[in-house]
Amino acid sequence: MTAGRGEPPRRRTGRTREFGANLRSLLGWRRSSDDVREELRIHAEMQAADGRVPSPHDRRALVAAGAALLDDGDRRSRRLQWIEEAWHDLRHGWRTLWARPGFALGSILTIGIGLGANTAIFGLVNAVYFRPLPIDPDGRLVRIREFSLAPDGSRRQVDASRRVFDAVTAADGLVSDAVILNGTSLNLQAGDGAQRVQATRTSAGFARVLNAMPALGRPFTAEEEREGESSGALIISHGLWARVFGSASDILGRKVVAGTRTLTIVGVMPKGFEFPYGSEAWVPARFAENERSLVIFGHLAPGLSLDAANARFEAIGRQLNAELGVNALGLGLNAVSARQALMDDDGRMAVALLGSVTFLLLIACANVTMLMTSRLVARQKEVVIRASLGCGRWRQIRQFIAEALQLFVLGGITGWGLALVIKDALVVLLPRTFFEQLGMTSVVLDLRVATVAIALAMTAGLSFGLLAAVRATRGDLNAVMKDGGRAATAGRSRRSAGALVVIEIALALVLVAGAGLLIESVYAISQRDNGFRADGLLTFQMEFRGDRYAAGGPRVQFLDAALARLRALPGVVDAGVTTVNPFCCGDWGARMSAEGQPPVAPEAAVVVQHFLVTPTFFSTMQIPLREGRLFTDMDREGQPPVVVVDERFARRFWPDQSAIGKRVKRGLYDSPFPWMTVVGVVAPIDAAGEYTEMWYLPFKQLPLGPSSTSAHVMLRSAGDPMAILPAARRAIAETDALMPVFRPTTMAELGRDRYTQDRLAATITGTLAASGLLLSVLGVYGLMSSAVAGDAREIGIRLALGASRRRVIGGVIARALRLAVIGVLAGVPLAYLSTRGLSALITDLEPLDVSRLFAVALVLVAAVATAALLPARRAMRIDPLRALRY
Amino acid sequence: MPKDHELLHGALAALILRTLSEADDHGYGISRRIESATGGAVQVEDGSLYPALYRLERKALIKGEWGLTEARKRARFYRLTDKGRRHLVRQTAQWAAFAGGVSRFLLGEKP
Repeated sequence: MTAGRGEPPRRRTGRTREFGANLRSLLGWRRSSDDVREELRIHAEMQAADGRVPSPHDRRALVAAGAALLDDGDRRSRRLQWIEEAWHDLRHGWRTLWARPGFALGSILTIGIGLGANTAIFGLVNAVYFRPLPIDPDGRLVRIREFSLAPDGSRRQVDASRRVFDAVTAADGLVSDAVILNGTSLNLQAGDGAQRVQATRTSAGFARVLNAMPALGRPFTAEEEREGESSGALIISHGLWARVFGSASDILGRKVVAGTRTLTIVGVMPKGFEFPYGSEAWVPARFAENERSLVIFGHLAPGLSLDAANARFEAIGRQLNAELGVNALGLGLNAVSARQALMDDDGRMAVALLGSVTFLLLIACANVTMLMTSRLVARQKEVVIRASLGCGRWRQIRQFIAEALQLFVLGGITGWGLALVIKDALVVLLPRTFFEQLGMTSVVLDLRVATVAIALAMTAGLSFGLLAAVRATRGDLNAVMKDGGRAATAGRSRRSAGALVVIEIALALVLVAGAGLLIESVYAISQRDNGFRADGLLTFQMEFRGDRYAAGGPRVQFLDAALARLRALPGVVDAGVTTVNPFCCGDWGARMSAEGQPPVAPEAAVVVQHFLVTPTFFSTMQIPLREGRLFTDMDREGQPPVVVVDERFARRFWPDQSAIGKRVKRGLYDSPFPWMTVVGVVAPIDAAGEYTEMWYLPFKQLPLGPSSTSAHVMLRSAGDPMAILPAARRAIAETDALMPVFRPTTMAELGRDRYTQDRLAATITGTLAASGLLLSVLGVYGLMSSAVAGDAREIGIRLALGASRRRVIGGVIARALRLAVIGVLAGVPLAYLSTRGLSALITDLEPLDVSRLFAVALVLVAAVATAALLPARRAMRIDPLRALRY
Repeated sequence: MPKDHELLHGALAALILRTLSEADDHGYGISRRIESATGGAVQVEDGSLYPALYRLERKALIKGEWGLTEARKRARFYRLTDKGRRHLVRQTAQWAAFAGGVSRFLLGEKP
């Protein structure tokens, strides 16, 4: 009898075996053939042990049963088989990939550069344009502004007034929560002496509306918010905490003297929060009925669109106008999203940057495809042999795609690593304010960026792998076998590789043309004549505050004394003071009228840029005098009012005659201001403001005039401007120990800051274009190298038949040049269109003209010719005997 | 030995399940027990046994696992699952009705 009959048999079951069986049954229930065979073998064994001899029929039946079982299992496990094959493809791809590590590494690096640049740039664009702003996680935050209509119908955006705040917060279902902010400054007695700090007065709801919780301490309490300034509460920025208080851990509750008041620090904001506009301290405030120049942020009521809200804001604006009796051209109201208010950019730069990196990726992909194809062509024999052994074309294509996907996955990982480096480099390149305004400190590569990066890698891997595979598996079995290794399809394959090179050259042309334009425009800006010499100028700001400077006399005395001290400092060539810095910190427009011109309506009055300056301002700035005279110390209060205008001003009002001796006045024709005589005409300067014409008035004649509390000192230095700052600070402190000195910088720096965005774009696209050019050159090199290698025999024959080496070189280079020319011809229309788009996007960008295009084309052709030189030399060195033998 | 394939084919599954309801066993053991339990009336053909076992296992009515016999030899043991037990009850009832009907008719009994 058999073992195990009658009573339950003792069993030991292998754990792993059981697990394997479970896994298999999960994947479609299939027992391995070995398993089945063994069971049947054991059956026969037991039968034999019992002395039973199976008939031949029985034996056949048993074998047939086994075969049937296995077949059944196969049919049921197609899914499993697919997975096994895919796994096999991957392993096969991995082996062939690393059979030539040079190729693998080169491809991975190329893809990595392409994907890395794309990931980093998209990360930046994502952070700046798509990720919720830290102050606005829900995307409902808007800035509400007033605007005034210019005579030409254009809107001039200005800040809002308390009246507007009351009106919009009182409206039903419009703004659910709002806060008023107002810039101010605090003179903190902390650290070493007086610290001038950019501060913000804020109404109730600061933390709530702006999602701004202190990192240390607490937000203002409701009581503090109600009390306003008198509460004495103060929240400081992380930067101020570090800079002035040495990141002291006992900062909370510390008392600091600010002017005449004592404030208590109740909180420190998180690192990087300097909202709005680089604010370093926040104090609660109560805003008076008549306050203007307020920044209002609010949350739109749930469900309300920005357009719908704006329709209601406009209506409120009209209603306010009616109440105030202002004419229809007066005040208007509207709201823009917080991002738009802070960025002042509608994504143009993003388009330009994303466009450039996409081109770079395409070039990189084309290169890798070319590499892969040339490798696949070399493997033609393998392909054909496998095909003849019954490996279907689809299976072969799948294997190539598996290989390509591995390249792109590895390239993607490399690219991600590169992106982490690049994005930090981008942050360094970007103007500091760019991020601070948005309340960000770094670029975060989030899930969205990762998704895009993976999608890019996969799409590129699949499509370019497919491209290469389809081309490689087109082989004709007989032709290849007969030809002894020189693939019959090589010619066709090289032709399509040539097409890839042409595409690369065309793309590179577009990149180089675009980058060239950007770089040229930035260079032009940096070289542009500002009308004054910006380098060598140190500038800082002072402010006349308090009772001491309530009258004009003390202001004039202070400036006289301070300037005398400053001019006496070693290293200082010249010093002057102006109320407006042409490169920064706001402008000041004044309505004016010219004698002899017909009176106009208020809204049609000419507005000019208004400067109050000391006599030495012009010499310090090196603004050339064109006609008449500059100011002297005699042009002071009590003397006949005089004015200096710039050439644009003179041309506008007196195009055909000299401006000297003409009379102008502030305000409308019948305003109470005195007529001022034009005594001098100076060269125009390039200023940041929106007014084109300028006039200069002597500070001493109008020490209490509009905007004259703010004084910008200009110091011309013989050497490094910043080096004289400590001495200048001392000179000011000796004159008036309480006079704050702030925003010290150089005019050259301010000049650069004005074009940081353009400079950034130029830097990035320049780098991209250089990489693109390099990759295309490598592509050409690769193509020509493989062409020369493939044609070695032919070249050998020609050499043997007496062709000169010069002709051989010429042939190779001519071939490369032919590709270059076709590529350039294909790229020109593309470059023309894309740079036209670019010049529409970016200010001051000259469109591409023929001579520039020609220059760019020349650069490309030269690069291609250089790339072909090395393979050409190799062709020249081919030994006819060797080439013919092998 | 005459064999009725048609009859066996339908019944073999039930016979296997019935056998395993008494004790777990390997394929050879199952065939021997069926033969002896039916007094040799049913001879289980090797070519039918294993496909039947395979089908039953796929339907999760039985479960096969490798183990050791008393003679310490490796063999694949089959065990009746709960599902198999329920199936056996149904099969038995159906078989009883079927076989009763058939034998009554063949032997000329009147209901």
